[in-house]
Amino acid sequence: MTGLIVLILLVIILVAGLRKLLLDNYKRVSQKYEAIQNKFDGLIQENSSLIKSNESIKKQLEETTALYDITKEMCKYLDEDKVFEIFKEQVAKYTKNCKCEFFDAGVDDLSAYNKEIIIPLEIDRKKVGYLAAAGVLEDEREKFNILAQQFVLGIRRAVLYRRISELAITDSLTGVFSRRHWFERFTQEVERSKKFKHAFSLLMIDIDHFKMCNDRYGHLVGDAILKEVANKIKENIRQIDLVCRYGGEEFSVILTEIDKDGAIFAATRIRQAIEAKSIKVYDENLTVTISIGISVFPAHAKEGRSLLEKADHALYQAKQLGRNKVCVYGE
Amino acid sequence: MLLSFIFCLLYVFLPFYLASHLKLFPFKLLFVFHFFNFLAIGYLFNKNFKIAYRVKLKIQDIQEKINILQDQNLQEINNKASLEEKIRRYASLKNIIEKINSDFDIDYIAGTLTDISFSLIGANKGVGVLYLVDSQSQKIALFKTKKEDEKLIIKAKEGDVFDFWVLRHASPLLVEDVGNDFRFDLEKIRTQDTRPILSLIISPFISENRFLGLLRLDREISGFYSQDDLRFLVAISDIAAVALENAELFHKTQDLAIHDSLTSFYTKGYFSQRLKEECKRSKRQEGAISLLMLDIDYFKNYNDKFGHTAGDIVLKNLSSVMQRFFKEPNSLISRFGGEEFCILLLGKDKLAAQGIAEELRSQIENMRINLRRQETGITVSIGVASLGQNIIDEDDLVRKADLAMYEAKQKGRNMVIIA
Repeated sequence: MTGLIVLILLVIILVAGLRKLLLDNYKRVSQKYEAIQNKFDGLIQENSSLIKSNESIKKQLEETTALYDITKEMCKYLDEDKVFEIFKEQVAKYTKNCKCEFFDAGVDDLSAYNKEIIIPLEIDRKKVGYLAAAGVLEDEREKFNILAQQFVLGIRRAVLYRRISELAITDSLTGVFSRRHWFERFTQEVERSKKFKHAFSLLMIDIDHFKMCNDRYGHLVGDAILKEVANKIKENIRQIDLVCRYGGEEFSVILTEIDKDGAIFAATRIRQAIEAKSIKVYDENLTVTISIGISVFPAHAKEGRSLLEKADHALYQAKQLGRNKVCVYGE
Repeated sequence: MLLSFIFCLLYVFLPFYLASHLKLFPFKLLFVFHFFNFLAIGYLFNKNFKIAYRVKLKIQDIQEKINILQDQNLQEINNKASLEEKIRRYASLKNIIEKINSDFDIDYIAGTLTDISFSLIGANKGVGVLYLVDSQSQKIALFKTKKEDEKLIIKAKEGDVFDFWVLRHASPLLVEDVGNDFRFDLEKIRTQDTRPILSLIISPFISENRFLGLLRLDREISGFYSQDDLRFLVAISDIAAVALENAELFHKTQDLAIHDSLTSFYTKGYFSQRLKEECKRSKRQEGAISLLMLDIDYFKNYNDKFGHTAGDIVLKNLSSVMQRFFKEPNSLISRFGGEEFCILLLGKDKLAAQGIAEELRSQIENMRINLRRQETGITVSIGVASLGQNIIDEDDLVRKADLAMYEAKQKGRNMVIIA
């Protein structure tokens, strides 16, 4: 009996001993496992923090890039107020409660903005205005500065354009008169014709599908077309007739002391000359057509404004009739 | 060693001893005992192996994940570096604007742009070229270059296939590998330029709807430029377009302030300034100075008779005659008012000026202008004054010449009167 007990005891000791041995071994392995697990966790954390910081940098980059994408928008308009309006819009988008104002150079009292940002706008060392802002937070300062820089670019462009339009009497691209100068002469012509009881005609000329041409062949081709059309118009009118670039692809012509029949003759001649002309730009040979609207003083209107409207209306008719046409108002 | 000795002693000899010598249990039981021992050892080892195997698998698994993560992290770190690089680029954009916005000199602006994009995007490798549109021919013309290899000659003075593509589409262009780009005809490219190009980026300068030029970077290896590079180039170009346009506009305003747009003679403002300087100088150097004040007779009649364009035509005709007449550099002509001209003669005394004025008057009288198939002509009245005893400064000079001109008008026009 004792022997049996001894044997059982021995088995138990063996089992216990082995278990302990193996458990120790297991512990070692799991410690190693834990260490690796910890390393893994650490890496995951590092990774997520990296991704997070990268995302924030990316966002910052996106925002900065977006800020520069505004340049085109900001420098699109030639009206100073409009430029400022767009600037204000963008500032409102990127800052919380910034208030800005734009002053003419004549304003001296900027005391209300004394502690805030004042950016003088200069052209050739002469001040032409001030941009003043209040309520820009410290972390918005950078964004505001970028926007302000672009605003300066845009406003300068607008100011310079205004100066040129005040000074220049011809359009730099086509060489024909500027709209402003033409309009002055137009008003004088209306007065003179009233006084001497002359008739005169007004042509509104528009290049057909010009926008499509521009989009398809590029701006340079568009510019070349404008130049060529202006030349053809000049070649087909008299020296004393006055042509101007009225808008983007629009020209208008005063035919002095010319009645309806004469105007139709002249307009048709211009239309045909342009239709027949092959314009060569780079390796492209293009032809364009024009539509012309005619109104006659004093038959259609006795005032400048309404004479212009009538010519415009006739032009619209010409376009409606399928383009490459000459239309007289009301016919 | 000791442990295994004790183990042997305990589990082999002790039971054997107990069975054979002490006869505590039969030998059979010894087999049972060993059997149990064997079972216990087998079971425990088996269990342990299984667990160990599982852990080992887990460790392997995690190790793999760790490797992936480490790769990822490395990538993110690289990412971060490149992002920071881009941020730095954009930060420097602010300085670029500052620079090009501070000046209206087109040469300086274009040079700055080319240099900056070449170093920031091109890493000072390859070629950077800036083309500007020539307003006369409406073609692009090479304006600035920046090259890694100083001796390289750029033959495409008016742009190549890629530039034309940009002109036509009015959009930026990225070519990663010229050989694999279906948009371009390889044969055409081979024949056009000897300069090897494999990758390039181009961005146009477009302001509203005017095309001003383009900025281009290219390299002789493929895949050098990325979409981000192009985007940055576009950001630069957008700003450059406005800056260049502003410079151009500014020079035009300056020119317009100096030259009258109809006759291209000097404006009153600029002329007065020059007159003042010349008077000062002539006093210092004791040189003679004379002034002619010229006014067209019955100018208003032309406007009434032929329309207002007629007035412009008369003025243009007159100005071309005067330009031909005063081709020597020692005279300054200005359109002083609507139909009034002022001519400053340097180094001419009263007598000489009178002769010149008389000659001019008769030339103008003989000039023929065709208006509405009618041949007409104009006459002018001229007043002459010279700096001398009773005329001391420029204001006096203008006033006296003006008075003399009025006298000519009153005495019947088409004549020269000396103050």
